[in-house]
Amino acid sequence: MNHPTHEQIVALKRLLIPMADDEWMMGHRGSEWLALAPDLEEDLALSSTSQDEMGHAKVLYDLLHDLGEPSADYHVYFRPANRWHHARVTALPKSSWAEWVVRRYFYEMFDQVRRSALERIPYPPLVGALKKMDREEAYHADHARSLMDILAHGGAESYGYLREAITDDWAYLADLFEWIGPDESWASWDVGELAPSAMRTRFESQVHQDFAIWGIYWPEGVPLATRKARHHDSSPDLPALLDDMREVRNQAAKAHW
Amino acid sequence: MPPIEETPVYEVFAQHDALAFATHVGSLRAPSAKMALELAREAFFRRDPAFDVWVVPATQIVHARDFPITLPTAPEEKSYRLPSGYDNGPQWKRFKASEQKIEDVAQEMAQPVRRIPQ
Repeated sequence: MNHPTHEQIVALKRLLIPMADDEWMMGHRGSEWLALAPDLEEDLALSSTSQDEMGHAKVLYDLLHDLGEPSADYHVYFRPANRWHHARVTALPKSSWAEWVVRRYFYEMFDQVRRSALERIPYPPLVGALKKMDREEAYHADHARSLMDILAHGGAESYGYLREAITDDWAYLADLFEWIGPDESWASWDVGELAPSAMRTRFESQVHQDFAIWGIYWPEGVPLATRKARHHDSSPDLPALLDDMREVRNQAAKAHW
Repeated sequence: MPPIEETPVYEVFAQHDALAFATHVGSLRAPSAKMALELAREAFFRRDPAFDVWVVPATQIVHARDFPITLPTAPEEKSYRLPSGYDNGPQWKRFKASEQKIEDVAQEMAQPVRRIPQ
């Protein structure tokens, strides 16, 4: 479908902005571990995967630009905090290594489910963009699982950190499954997999299976989100994050870089 | 993960295409061979693709320096081993010029009477 309707274009924006913002935030928070990861090899791998995520965000912002949104630069450097639509878990401030491993694992498992739902939208530029990301994302998911495996089987101490991090992040997972805008908007594409409940079920079944392998207690289903889950009208952390992220740019906001 | 110094070292080799020799590109520490491949991907192949990557536990590599008698040393006089008189240069030139396939060369070599072009 090369000529989506106006409703479908609006819907597409509401589907892609959350994804672009999630990818950007995972890339940004991931890059904060530079020189702080527990070993050199993972430090290199993480800085590289963080760049991948920022690259994916750029691809999506460019796609949005083609649909009439402002440029990628605007989205990243100038957009006010209340116009960002990432899930909170992607932008949580850096805490422990175990928390980062768990956050990445949950995010990658969710992202796989989301990408396979979006791939069913018959809009060729989107299908092409997702295809480009697939190879890198398949690696991200595999590596995220390997890091979980190391913590799960690394002895009582690491297992303890893992359990604690899962408990901390679990409450935030709900937001991932929400889109922005009313249900009718994503439903205009007539792709059942895009329904938040469908994505949640697929995510839960994958994670439940992995938890059984790692001997991790299954904390029942992921909690349900509010419809405003991806709106950050009064987020305490976000303005600080944006200031930090834009610090260099803001030295000379009008300059051409 | 065990302490860093107990984490095994893997030597990393890359093959750039199916016919290329694997070339050593570096080494890294990883808790398993699979993890070594995952980490090698980002440490050594961020920009350049590879046809294949091998990781080998460093402890599995046998060094000639540990068995000095096996170490190849500079020959005193080995000109009798040099393959003069078997000049394949012209074949190679034609192979490269005509974009022959390796099978064509093999077929040519297999012919009963080989003429060495002058």
